[in-house]
Amino acid sequence: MSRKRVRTDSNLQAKEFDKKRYTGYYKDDDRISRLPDDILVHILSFLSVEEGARTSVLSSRWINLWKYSTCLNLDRYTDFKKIRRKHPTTGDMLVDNERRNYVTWVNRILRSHKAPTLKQFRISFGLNRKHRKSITRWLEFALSRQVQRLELDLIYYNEPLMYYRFPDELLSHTFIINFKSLRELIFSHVDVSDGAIEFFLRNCPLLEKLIVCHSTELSNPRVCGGGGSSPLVLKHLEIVFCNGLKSLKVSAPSLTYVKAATYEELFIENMPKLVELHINCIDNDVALRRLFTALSRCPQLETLSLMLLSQEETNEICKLPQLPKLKKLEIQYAARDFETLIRLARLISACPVLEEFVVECGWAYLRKKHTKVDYAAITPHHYLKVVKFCGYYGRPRDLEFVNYIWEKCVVLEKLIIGPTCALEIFKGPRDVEQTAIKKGKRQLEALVPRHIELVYL
Amino acid sequence: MAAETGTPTTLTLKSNDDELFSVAESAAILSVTIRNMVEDGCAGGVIPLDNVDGKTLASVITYMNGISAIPADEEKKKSYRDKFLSDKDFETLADMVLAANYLNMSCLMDAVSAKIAQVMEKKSVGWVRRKFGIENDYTPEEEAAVKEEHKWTFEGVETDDDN
Repeated sequence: MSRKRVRTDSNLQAKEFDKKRYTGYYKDDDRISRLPDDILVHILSFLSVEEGARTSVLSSRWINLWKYSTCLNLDRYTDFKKIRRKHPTTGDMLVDNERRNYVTWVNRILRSHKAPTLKQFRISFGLNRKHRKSITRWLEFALSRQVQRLELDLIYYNEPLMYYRFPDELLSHTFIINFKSLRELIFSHVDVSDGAIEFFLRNCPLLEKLIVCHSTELSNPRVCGGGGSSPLVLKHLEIVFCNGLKSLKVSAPSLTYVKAATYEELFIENMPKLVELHINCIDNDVALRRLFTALSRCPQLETLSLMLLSQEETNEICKLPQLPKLKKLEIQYAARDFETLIRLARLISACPVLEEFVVECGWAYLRKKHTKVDYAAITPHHYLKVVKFCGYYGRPRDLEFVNYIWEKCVVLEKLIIGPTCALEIFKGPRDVEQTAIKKGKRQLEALVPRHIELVYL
Repeated sequence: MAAETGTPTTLTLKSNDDELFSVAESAAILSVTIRNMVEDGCAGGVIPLDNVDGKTLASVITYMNGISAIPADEEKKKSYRDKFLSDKDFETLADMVLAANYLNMSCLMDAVSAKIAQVMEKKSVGWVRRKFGIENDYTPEEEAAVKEEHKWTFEGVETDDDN
């Protein structure tokens, strides 16, 4: 069939190979070499670049196949990590060396690469602003090949303010570089500006996934569109670990998944298809009410993960607008010493068909004596089956919350207790956690009724 | 067409060695090639598939029926595909990848390709040659030159003196 299509162009007397071999046929039992080029290239796209390129040594049939792979996953992050771990303080020279090697390695691969279009292009290594010329060239390479999935993961290490910045020049060259084929765009440890985000949304009509993490430059991005001439098909949005983020506006009708962390203002609207949301919210009545009001307009929302950000003052959470379809609610909460966990009951009550509730509770020294809360008036919940409570330290307020759970969640089947909070910043001192684990176990086994399955993590 | 009567439509597929197979239209249209024929109204009689033999077509149809019976759950579909391919030898996999390509079934094409790639992963050149019966047609000088050019790809691979 199309066996002869791949032409060799390495400096290994290319023409010799052409004449000598490609006119021949492959032995009957060499079935794999008799598969057509495009199928072999497709198979190689499931291997790493090195593995793919190594097949060129198999026989002359294979010498150029890897160069036509449409997936270039140039990931050597593990090598980078190894060097850093081995030489945490004195490794700078080695790291620089390793970086140079990586740049050379990528350049060499791109020089030999022949595929006219790319499905995937991924860079993963600890590079920074010093390598901007090479990185920009790589981006041009990928974009000029109508790449569909572009990922730039420049794991930053120990060099403040040295992130590679996504170049504005690329955005102004739309007559040369075509962004129209992009479907997924992923930046990590890359400075991406608000303007660049808006540019992508405007100029990539097929863009379904946009992920930006660790960009110091992002401050007030707007992820908006979908009206009139520019229908936005964006389904998946993540904007996380962007410490400079002041506000975020999201209004995109096709979104099903959003993960965003902003410490100040968040405006969300027009997300009728949203299914899963991970977000921060300031822990006060006004902010929570605003958030729940916006979410009550997302009729498909099933999963909500909410990190409550403590403020100086606390106040009671009042009745919140309902989230009619929410099945899973996750709360990350650094409860302060004067707070009761029963506050969270308001959140549960706002989700009438909730089936799973997870709370990751942070450690705090309790200076004040616990004042009992009367939760008798809270209406029972009829759907909640599974509750997971991480950061159970066996103190009166923890116990009180568990009591509330099994008394008020009338169909509860399973209670999962984690003695320590999974979030590093919320963790308590080790010895405190150890005693808490023992104490908590004793308490709960005596307390929780038999028909509820009690699981200790 | 039968769709009007409300009963599930069945298509008849014919392999290149003249075997006939009945398959539900809803399963068969996993193949974009077949779907296009159905949409163009060419699926009334027998659909001839000139590039697929009976044995392979039977296998592909088993896959079509199996995978289309699973509701939209990527995890379950993946485990079905893994199980479906687990006992296939390379000869069968090669037939399947050709059939999947011809029938334009990207999920089967990807699964089989990944499975073949998996066999090659982290293996020495010599091992891959033996496993697939690949004839090394390089002269020793040529092979040394190709190896030198691709030296960078040999890190972390077991050395194999039989290569």
